[in-house]
Amino acid sequence: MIKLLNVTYHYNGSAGVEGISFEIQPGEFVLLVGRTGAGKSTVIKLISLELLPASGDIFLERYHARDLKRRDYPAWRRRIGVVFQDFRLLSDRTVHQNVKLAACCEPSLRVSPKTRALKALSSVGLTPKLHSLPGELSMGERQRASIARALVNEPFVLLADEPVSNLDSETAGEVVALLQKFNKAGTAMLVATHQPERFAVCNPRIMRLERGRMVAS
Amino acid sequence: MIRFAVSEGWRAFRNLGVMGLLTLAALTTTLSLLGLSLRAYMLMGDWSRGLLGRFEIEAFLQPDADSLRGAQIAAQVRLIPNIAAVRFISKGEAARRFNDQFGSELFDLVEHNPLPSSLIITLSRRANSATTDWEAVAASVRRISGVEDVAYQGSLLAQMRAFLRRMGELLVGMLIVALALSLGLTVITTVSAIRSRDEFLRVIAFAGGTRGMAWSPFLALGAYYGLCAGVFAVLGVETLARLVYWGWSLKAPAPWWWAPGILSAGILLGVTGAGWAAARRITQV
Repeated sequence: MIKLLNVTYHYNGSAGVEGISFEIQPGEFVLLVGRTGAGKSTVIKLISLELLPASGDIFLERYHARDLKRRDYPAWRRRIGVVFQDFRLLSDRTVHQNVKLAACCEPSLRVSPKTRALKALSSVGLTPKLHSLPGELSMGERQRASIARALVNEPFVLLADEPVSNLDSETAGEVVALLQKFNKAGTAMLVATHQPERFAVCNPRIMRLERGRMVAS
Repeated sequence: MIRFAVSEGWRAFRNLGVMGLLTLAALTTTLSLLGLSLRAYMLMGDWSRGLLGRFEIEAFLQPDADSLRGAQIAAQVRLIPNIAAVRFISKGEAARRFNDQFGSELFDLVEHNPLPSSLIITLSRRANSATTDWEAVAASVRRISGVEDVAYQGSLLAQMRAFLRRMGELLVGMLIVALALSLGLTVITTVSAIRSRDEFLRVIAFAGGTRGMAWSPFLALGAYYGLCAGVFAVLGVETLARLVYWGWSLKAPAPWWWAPGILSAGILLGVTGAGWAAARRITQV
């Protein structure tokens, strides 16, 4: 479970998000909808502890963000997978090496990083592209590789920041179907998007942000 | 973790740029200086021990001391630490030696033998170095009843000490400069490697990698630099030493720990520089 209670974050004086509260239960599919600058990415960064709230509480399973020391952040982040709009794949490594790098960050799982990376890539249908560099992939394939990397450590929740914004409608549909597949397998999803209609098939709960405030949930 | 560090460090090491080459050169120079200093120190130690092996303390006994009294005093001298041997020279033997060396004309002018009997004292090989407190040993001998005076080559010893001290100061000074230069360059190279791998570190951060994991490739990078420079330094110094030894017909092989010591020093130097850079520049994790 992820729970945010009255979370506020300010960027140099102006509000990024203001007093937002919500909960995500295991297996839920939640859309965070709003215009550019509404605070969607800020929420994702707050949950992944890239930013720390000025006030309010964030809970992830048994952890409370306020109680964490810096050395505890990795354990929190390993319970979260993050997918970015710009993929953030390392251009000098093959797809398999990209996913394996993330797998190496979770040493406590029994299966080796290499095997987990192969399994994750197989689950997104990228087995034929294992040894390709990101530059050799289509946009859709890059996003699938990015999803495989986010899921390789079996996180509780996958945070996706505009995962289909750069994709044409057919490729976007494939990515949405992939996210739906993993959601049905039990991974909670929090997707920040300004195109909620593309996720209609996932039957999501929609939360709307406007100027940093939650206006509907 | 070790496999990860080794492979990621190697990946960074392969992309050796101009800064990397400069770092390697500086580290090699530092380690070569360290190696040369060690070899020179060992060589000088051998040389001074060989020279000092010929040094003796001569204790002149009181004029009335006969061979029995001489033996008693010699027994007392042997109780002083670091004494290897004590030999009694009678008045007659002293006169014979004098005559052998300077001729008998002087003795013909005096009616009796004016030379005193004496003890020739040599120090043990372990204690026989330029830094041994010869004055203290001489003073201990001088305090023994029946000893009139003590003589040894103090001025030569003082010159040897001064020479060795100056050599030591020069080598230490050179080492400090080289050490600072190579550490500085290792830090700069590692900082540059960290900057160029910003995206890699961000991936480590959001995937839940620990700080140790983020640091490890750069520590391994430093270790690679140090190891590589160490190998170059060992090969270079060993070649130079063999040429010098061959040219001067010297026999002073390095002890077994010399090459592993230089390699370890290289790795330590590289890892220290890289660790310093990582501690200050890795902020993503």
